[in-house]
Parts: sequence; structure tokens; C-alpha cells
Amino acid sequence: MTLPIPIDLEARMDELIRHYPEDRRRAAVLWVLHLLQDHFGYLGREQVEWTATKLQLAEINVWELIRFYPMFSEVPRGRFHIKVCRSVSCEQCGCGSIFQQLQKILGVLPETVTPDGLFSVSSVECLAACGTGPVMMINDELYENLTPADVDRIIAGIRATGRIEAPRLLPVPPAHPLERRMLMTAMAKPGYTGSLDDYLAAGGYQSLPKAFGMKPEQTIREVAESRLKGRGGAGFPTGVKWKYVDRRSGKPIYLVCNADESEPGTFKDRQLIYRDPHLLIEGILISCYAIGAQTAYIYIRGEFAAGAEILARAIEEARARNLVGDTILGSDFNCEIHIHRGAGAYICGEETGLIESLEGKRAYPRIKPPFPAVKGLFDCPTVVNNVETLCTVPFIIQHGSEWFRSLGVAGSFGTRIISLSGSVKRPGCYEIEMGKITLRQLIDDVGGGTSRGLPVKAVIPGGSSMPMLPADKLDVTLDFDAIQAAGSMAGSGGVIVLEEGDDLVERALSVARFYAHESCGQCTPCREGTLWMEKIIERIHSGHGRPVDVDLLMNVANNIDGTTICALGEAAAWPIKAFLRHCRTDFEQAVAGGKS
Amino acid sequence: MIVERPKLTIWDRLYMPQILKGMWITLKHIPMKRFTRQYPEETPPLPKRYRGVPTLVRDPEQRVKCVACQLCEFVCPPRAITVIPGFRAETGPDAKVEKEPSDFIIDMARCIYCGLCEEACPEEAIFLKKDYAMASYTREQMKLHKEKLLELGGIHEDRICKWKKK
Amino acid sequence: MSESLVKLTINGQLIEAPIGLNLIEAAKLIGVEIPHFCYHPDLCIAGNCRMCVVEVATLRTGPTGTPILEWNPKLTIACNTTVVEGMEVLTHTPRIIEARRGVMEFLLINHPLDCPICDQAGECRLQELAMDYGRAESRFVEEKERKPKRTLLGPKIMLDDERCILCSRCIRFMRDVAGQDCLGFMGRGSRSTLTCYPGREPSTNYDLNIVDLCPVGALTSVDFRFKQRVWFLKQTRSLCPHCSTGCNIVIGSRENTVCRLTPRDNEAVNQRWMCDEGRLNYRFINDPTRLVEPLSRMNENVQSLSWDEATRQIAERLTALRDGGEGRIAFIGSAGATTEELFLFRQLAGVLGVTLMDVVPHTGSADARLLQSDRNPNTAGALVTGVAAIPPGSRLLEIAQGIQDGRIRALVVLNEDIIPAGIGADLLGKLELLISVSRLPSAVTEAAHYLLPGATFAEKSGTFINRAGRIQRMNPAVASPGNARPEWRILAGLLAELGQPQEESLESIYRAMAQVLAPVWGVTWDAIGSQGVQLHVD
Repeated sequence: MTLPIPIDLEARMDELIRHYPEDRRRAAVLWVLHLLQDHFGYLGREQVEWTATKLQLAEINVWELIRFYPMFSEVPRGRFHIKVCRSVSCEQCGCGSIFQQLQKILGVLPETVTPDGLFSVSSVECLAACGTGPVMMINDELYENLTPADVDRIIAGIRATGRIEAPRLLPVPPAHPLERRMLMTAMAKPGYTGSLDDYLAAGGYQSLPKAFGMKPEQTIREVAESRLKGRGGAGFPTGVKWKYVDRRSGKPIYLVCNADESEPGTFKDRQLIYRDPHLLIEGILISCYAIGAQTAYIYIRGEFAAGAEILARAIEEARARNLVGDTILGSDFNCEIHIHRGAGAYICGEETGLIESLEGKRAYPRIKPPFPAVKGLFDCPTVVNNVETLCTVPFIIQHGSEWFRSLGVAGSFGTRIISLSGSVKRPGCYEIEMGKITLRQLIDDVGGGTSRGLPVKAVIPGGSSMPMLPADKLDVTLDFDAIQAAGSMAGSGGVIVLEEGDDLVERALSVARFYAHESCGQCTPCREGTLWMEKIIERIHSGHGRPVDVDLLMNVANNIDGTTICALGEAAAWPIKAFLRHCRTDFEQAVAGGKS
Repeated sequence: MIVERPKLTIWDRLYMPQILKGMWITLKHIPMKRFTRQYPEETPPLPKRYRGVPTLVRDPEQRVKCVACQLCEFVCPPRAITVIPGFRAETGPDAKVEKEPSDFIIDMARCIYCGLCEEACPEEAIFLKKDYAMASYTREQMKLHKEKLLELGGIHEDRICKWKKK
Repeated sequence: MSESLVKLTINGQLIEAPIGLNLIEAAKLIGVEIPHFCYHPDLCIAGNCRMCVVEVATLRTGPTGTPILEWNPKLTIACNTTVVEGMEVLTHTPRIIEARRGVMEFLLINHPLDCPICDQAGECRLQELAMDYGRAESRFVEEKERKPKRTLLGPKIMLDDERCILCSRCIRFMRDVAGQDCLGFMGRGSRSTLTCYPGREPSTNYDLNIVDLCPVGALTSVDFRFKQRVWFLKQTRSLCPHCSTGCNIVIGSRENTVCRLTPRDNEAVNQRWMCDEGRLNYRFINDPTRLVEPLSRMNENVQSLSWDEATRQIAERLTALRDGGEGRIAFIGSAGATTEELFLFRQLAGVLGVTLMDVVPHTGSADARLLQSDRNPNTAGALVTGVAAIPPGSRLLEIAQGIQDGRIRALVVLNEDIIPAGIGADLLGKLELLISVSRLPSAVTEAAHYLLPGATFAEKSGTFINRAGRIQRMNPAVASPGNARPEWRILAGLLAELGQPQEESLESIYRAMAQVLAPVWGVTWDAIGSQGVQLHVD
């Protein structure tokens, strides 16, 4: 091994390797690759072979990860690597102009490095900052609300100083009258830093001792009776998921926090992680106690590099106060929380894809059955919960399930954070009481109305995976059942607004491109079908569509729907089918106005 | 039953009238239009889809179109075709085609000119052209090999140009 | 055993299936073929092709406590669904056909138009299922995805990534069965490609099995590349003669040329695999130097004889030697000969009063799976018939000694080159009569007084008894070149000449043998069939 690895770097790797079971060193591979890439700037053959030796893997096991996870690169990138988000909401806000500006002042095509080795540009999919789009990341820092002038200024700044200036977190605006804050209360306090002391001062870490006063079964029952539904997108009842855990297998039970927020239009978990990490930690601790897990992994998307550090610091703060680790608060409950960084794949948000990625493999979702509650991470019983879901748990334990059921409506109790983006005047995160506010109120009152004041054309209510709702459905209340009855799903709570004059075919293309890019490639319909849909819409959009293409597109989407291993197939097919069903004329016009 | 024999007249017995009658029929034909074709100076006009000797063709870029898939060999009813598959050059514009016949033999003594080989070919590489006068002194010489078949086939104006696009 | 069976209904037909069986295998029990690509009975479940979808209903306890049949709203994949009591399965409804047609269309949109040049044509699962589920005209008008073509994966295997349908059978095989984790998918989505880390190409003795496994022409054998179209190949069931495992194989031949060997199923012997060494060891069958004519070599005078003449002369000279005294003749048989041949050899030895005989052992290194260190396919047969000494090869020294002393004047050698085995050319020179039955020229054939051309395993019928005591049959695929003939016919002819008329066909010789040899009592030729019969041998 001729690769020169600094001793402290390898020490860091060894420490991280210890976060995983003895016989599962493979799980540490993403960490090792991140550290190697940060150090060397790229992951070439030597890095692959070194990693394979270090973790006792075959070289192919390491090599096959590099082209699966877009954050990794086999060739050196610029010292300042710029990633511009190109997903639906940012496209709405004009990310194209940012892209063009960058190409103009840097003078290079995407994926190439400037001759001075300083800059390279990529277009990437959703960076979970849709409310402040257009956005770009330079290395690990996020720049929001960009204009071409901002781009000039930032690049000039880097050229002058040779460093990146980390932008500061924008403050949380005060609550809108239609909001009903619970999770966002503490983070909105002026001067709130998310530190342990701040959290304690805001009343934090009171639910944890209360949970310890109950038996774990009681804790589960409390959450089950609250009828809390998962906030990640699937909306599965959390208490039911916890009950499925196999506690008799004799194997360790794991809790995995799904912090891989990548659904276009969704950026609420970012707020919770960056602004109130201890809320998440407390939620994790209580949940671990309930299900009998002694180890929790926070799978955080690779782009949330700062978020990973924030969480790591928070965990250490908590450990110092005996809140994480052995005999927490003097009880006989031990719980370790480890951070596990992803590397840029939306499919890692799928629970079994996440588990495969955590184990150090390509994120290919597993066939279910068996379900993770029986055979999940490292073949042990596992529960995967979304960040927001876990953050809600302390409130349920603190105030009781009955109190929780006093909020919201039947079938959708409690509050949730809506991520509003697209063609609205005031995009952002708003915490609302479920079922008590309509889409129209959200867009007009809370969001300030559409950007150009034109009528709403379409609203995607739950992240780009969900079918759009046409303008005549704006009076639907924001809860699971009502949205489902209206023909869509509440999903991740990412509301994307399209107004008259927006190019719907272009948005459809953006959505199709997202799923084609993010498809893991395991099963036939999604692998081939998503790229085919992208190509058909591309042709329609660029003027080469044929009249049969509209029906063909619908047929292809129908063939993907329901035949795939995981829900990415549905996520790719439903939006396109909804666009075609509600706005067919947009497509037909694009075909008619075309060149062929 | 008793067969009645016709009584022959004197003219019947003389037989002259019959001879003159026959000669008249023959002489009647002398001024009539002749249909005889003076082959080989005059060759017959061949219909557009006439099936003559099968040949192998090249595309406008001089590439031998046949890729030795052996479908013609399989479908040939009298088993007249033998294909020996081979490899194309590893480098150069032909490398992507991968396969070609190292030899291609059609035994014209067996060939029944059915055209099934042309129908079966997926590469539009074998065509029955308009030769029909295929003769030789030995059975061995009746077997046409690849070079002769390519010579007979010439260039085929390719509408599809499959290998250019691949 | 009935506790481990469950009752379920497939397409309206009630069947009983063992617990743990998946639906593809369960459907096979009643002759229903559920199409699939990525499923393989010997590999772990991948479930990624989505071709084997079926409609499944399971029993659930209803609200009143009575069981109700609940149909799964989504189509389920059959490979990952195990049989459950009371399950109902439909395999070919219109909805299922539509779904499979959808999957087939997806597989074909980026598949290259390589059928005319692809070796898999004729045995390609994609072609076959496209006939059932494909469209007549393609709806895909875009550019197909381009991927690397013609990449060598080691010297034996050619990879074409455009043809790959990403079923992952090869990855699972190399990792779980062959034991070398070297293959993986690079990239994501539709741009995924099967790759091997450079420098870590497949290098086990089982690599070529992935060529059999690959349902399309993505992985092809370099040895067989462009040799022949498979629909021209006569498929003859036979046995691999490379070692004492006796893997069941199929000889693919066309007009007396053997083009390839491939494994066939036998759960008891080789499952579905064969090792590369055995697979690639067939070129000797059509070697141009094969012996084709009986020859006599007397005093530098090489003369070709007819079989009748050769048999007569040999019988005459051997009888003379036998009558002239005891122990003048020794026999060296082969543990690579068939059991029937060894049986006749032993008979011949008996008629000639020969008691000194043995076979030549051949050994090599064994691997962890199929290849045995005993490289003779019929050592058990040689022991059972009494041709081999115990242990085999232990009397060769005695034979050598006997020749050295001049006691042994004649040696009959069946299919062995004994010079490397310790009976050198100088010893052979001392013999009055050296008869060699052989297929290829070797040092011993050069020294023989009578040279009789024999047949390889691909040219004759016969049986081998493998290391585990299983008797298996092989069948002739090609004709022997020239005047060469199977050794059993040669030996039967000699025996007839010596006054011991033999049966005409091999099958009847087997019957005669089965009446005499204890381990084979009661095992009929038909019973051996294509899968063989386990004997009780020590």
C-alpha cells in the first residue's frame, strides 16, 4: 500500500469503523471514502484498493460504490466544487440563470475543472433548500436565494481570499397567524443556537426522564394511541411500526433516523437538524428506549455536511451530560447514537435502500418480505423513522397522546411542517395544524399568493413524488385523508406551486429527469422506464414530439406503476400520469407546436 | 360387338390429299409471326423479381454485409449453403460488426433458386440477382465461394445503414 | 413427511408442495412455466427482473373468525413467494400478461440489435420470451444507451455490456458459488453496467458457468465464440471424462465435429455446473492426428490391416503365447475406459490366462467443488471389474519387473501411454508382442507391434462408475474417424475370434455384465437413464 495516509486520518477512520459491529466493517466504507476524497480530492484506483484492504473487502465492492454515489469522483474536481440544484422548485426559481452565470464567469463546461484547478461546476438534484432557491453548494457550504449578481460576488470573494465564507443561517421568521407551531417553537426564539443549554432553557430533555418513568411498552402505546403518522412521505402509523419490531430474536435492535431528505420540494428536516439538533436527539433516545434499541444511526444525506457536524457536536454535548451513552440519567438504559453520512442518492431515503447503504453496499432496496422490523440492518430488527417523526415523539410523551389528538383532525392528528416552494411570494417552512388549513389558505394567506399574482395552475402537495392537484382542488384541507380523496397524497409535506404561464412540460421533464437520475437500476421497469419517460418528454419539450407520444407516455408510466421493487416506481409514474391527466393540453400543444 | 370398318375411298387409299393438306398447314405458317427467341444472342426479358443466382453484397462503404448469422444456411431447403463463421478485424471501422463469414459456399448444383435465403437474411446481405446461366464441368466448380459471390453481388444501395448508426 | 407439505391451488388446480418451495418451482410441479430471468434455483433470490409476476391470494382470518381469501392488490413476484396453505395463484391472467409484456418492452428498448452476431441466438431466454411477450413493432424511437462491448473478462469470457439485462445472476454465482467476489454493477439507473475490477478478472475453475447462467448474450465463451450456431448442434447426453466426478454433460456437435461441452442437470453429481478444465477438454476428439487404421509394425514394416485380419493375427499370436507357458502375457487396462470395456478386457484376460493386470492412475490437484484429484473417470469401474489392482497402479512395478526379467513376453495396453507410467521404451523394446489400443499417437503407439485405433468418450455408448459409486451412461455424439472403432467392439471381436462369441450391441453387453458383476445386479440399462443410479460399492 503505497498510499500515504496521515496517521490522524487513519485514526479517525478506525474510530468510525468502531461505530459498527465487529463483523460488519463494510458499513464504514462510505465514511472512509468521504475522508479519502476530502484528503486527496478524488478516489482513484489506489484509494479504492487501500479501502478494500482496510475493510477486508473485494476491490469491486468499493469500486462499485463510487459511480453509484454522485458525491464521489474518480477524477480530481476543482478545489471549489460548485453544485447547482436543478430540481423542480429551483427550476421554478430560475436556477438556469445561475448555471449560465457560472459558466460565463468560469468559462468551463459542467464537469470540467478550470485551468487553474480552482473551480468545477455540476448540476445536481434537490439539495433540500427549495424554499430559498435558487441554491448552490460550494464544497460543503450552501448559498441560498441566489441571483446572478450574487454568483459574481461569491466567486470574486473566493478568488480574492482563497477561502469560502460560510453563509450564516437565516433566522426563522415569526409564526404566521395560520401556523400552529410545536416543533418550530424553540428554533424561532431570537438568539436560539440549538446548543444543549438553549434546548434545556426552552424546556428540552424533560420528556426523556418521563419516558424512563414508563415501561417501554407504555411508551410505544402512548405513541400508538397518539395515532402519529410518519412524516417522511409514506405516512405509516409510527406506533404500529414500533409494535412490529421482533423483540424475541435475541439480536440487537436498531433505530435508524432517516435524515436523507432528498424529496424535491421538501426542506423541513434541514431546519430541524440545523437549528434544533437536540430535539431530534431526545426523540431518538425516547424511541430507542421504547423499541429496545441500544444503538441508533442517523443516516444523514452527504450534502448536509454541516448538519452532520452539528449533530455530532450535539451528541457530544449530550454525552457530557449523561444523556447519551451508558446508564443515561442514572437509569439502566444505554444508548449510542452514531452519525452515518450518505453520498448523494435519493434512493437512500427508501427504508431498505437506506439499510443497504448503511451496510456499505449500493443502495438497492430489498424485496419485502422480510420487513425491516424483523430483518433489517445487519439482519437485525430495525425501525427506520423520519427526522420530523422522531422530533414529534418528545412532545407526545411530554403532553400525552390525548393532548396530541386534540391537535389536527381524525386520521391526521398533530402538526406538521409544510415546506412551501415554487411560484409563491413567501416560500419557506410553516408548521400547521393538520386538517385545519386549506391549500388555498396556505398559498394565498401564508405564502402571500403566487409570485406573479396569476392564478394557480397546479399544486404538488407532498413532494415531487405525489400527483399534482389542479386549481379546482385548492380548497382541500392539508391532512392525509382529504388530500388522498382529492386524488393525491400528503407525502413529505413539500408543497410546490405552479402558476399560469409556467411551462408545465418543462416541469414534467424536470421531474422525469430527477427519477431517471435517481433510479438505482435494480429492477427493469424503473431502470428502463424512467429514462424512457425522460426521453419522451425531452422530445416533446424540444419540439420533436409526435401525437402518439402523449398516449405512449401515459402507457409507459402505467407499466412502471405497481411493478417495481420499491416505491420509486410509483413516485416516478404518478406525477407524470397526473400531469397528463390534468394538463394533457399542455403536452398536446407542445407536440403541435413542434418541428416534427 | 362388331366394329364397323369405314370403307376407304380411292382418294383415301392414294394418301395424296392428306399429304397436301399437311403441307398446306406447314406452308401456311411461313408468313406468320415467329416467336422463336434466338438464344444466346437474344436473351429473355427477365421479370423485376426474377430469382437468379444468390449473391453476397457489400454496402456503399465496401463493407461485406453478411455477418455469418447462418440463418440462410438453416432455412435453405436443399442445404445448398455452408457458412464458416469468422472474426472481423479487431481494429478499424468494421470492428463493431464483430462477425463475418470466413467462407461462404453455395453449391449451385443443389440450389433451387427459391429465395428463402434472401427472405431470411436479417442483414439484407444475400440477394438473388439475375444470373441464370450457371454451368461448369465439375461438381466442385459448381460450388461458389465467398469471393465469387461477392463479385456477383456488387454494391447494394443501403437504405437503413445499420452499422453506421450503431 | 406430510406435515411438511401444504395444499395450494395454481390456476385452479389443487397441488401439494413442500413448505419453503417458491411459486416458480411449485408451478413446475404441474407443468406450468412461469417466465423469469433473474431467478435461478441454485442462487439466492434477486427479484429484479419482475418477469415472474403472478396474482396471489392468501387466507386471512375475517372479522367473524372465518378464513377469507384475500387477493393481493398488486402483482407479486413468484420467485420470492413461498407456498402457504390455502394459497391461490393465477399465472396467466390478462393483467399478468400485460405486465409481462410491459417488462419485456422495457428490456428490449435498450437492447442492441445484435441477434445476427450474438452467440446466444437460439438459446437466448430474451429471444424466447420476446416471442411470447414482445411487440411486433418497437415504440422506442430514441437513441439506445451505449455501453462497452467486447470486453474480455479474463481469457475465457467475453462481456458485452449493451446486451446485459442486469439480472445479477453472474454476480451472485461468482460470489456465492465460485467463491470469487469479482463482479459488480457500476453506475446507476439505466446506465448501470456489469464490471469487473481491472486485474481481478474471474480466475476460478468455474468461471464458464456464468456463460451458461447468463440468460442473454452478455457473457459468452471465448472458446465457442463464432464457432457454430447452436441450432445446428446435435445435443448428446454424455459424461465428462476429465475426473472421477463424472459431471453430466451435453456434447454439442455438428457433422462429426464436437463444438462444445456444456453441463446438464444432475442434483446428485454436479447440480448444474461443470468445471472449466473439463469443459474445455474436448479438442482432442477431433484432433487431426487421431489414429484411423489398424496397423501392424513388424520389423520396421508398417502395414495397415483390415479389422478382421488384425483381429485374427492378434488372436493367433496371443493364443500361441498362452499355450507356450504361463504368465507370459500381461494386461494394462485404463480407468478411463467404460465399465463394459473393462468387463470385456477382464474376460479377455481370463480367456488368455492372464492374471497380471492393472490400470494407470492419473492424479491432479482437486478443487473445493467438483474437480477430483483422481483424473480417471472410471476407477470404480476398473476396481469392480477386477482390472485394477488394489490400490490401482500398485502392480505396474510388477509388470515392469516381469518385462525386465523376460518372463512377460507380451503386453496388451488399453488406451494408456505407459511410458510416463514407468514402463520405459527400453522395456517395451524387450517385448515380443506389444498391442496398443489407442486414439492418439504417443510414445507407446510408436513402439507397438499392433496398433488398434479406438474411440473417445464422444463416439461410443457405455457407462462410468464415478467416485461416489454412481453408474452413469454416455451416448455417442460423433462417428469415429476413419476405421477407428469403440474399444468394446475391438474387444468383443477378439473374444469372438478366441471362441467366446459376444453380444452384438453395447446394451446387451451391459445386460450380460449386469448379470455377473455384483454391484450392478438388477440395474437395467433403462434404469440408469440420464441421471444414473447409485450403486452400493465399497
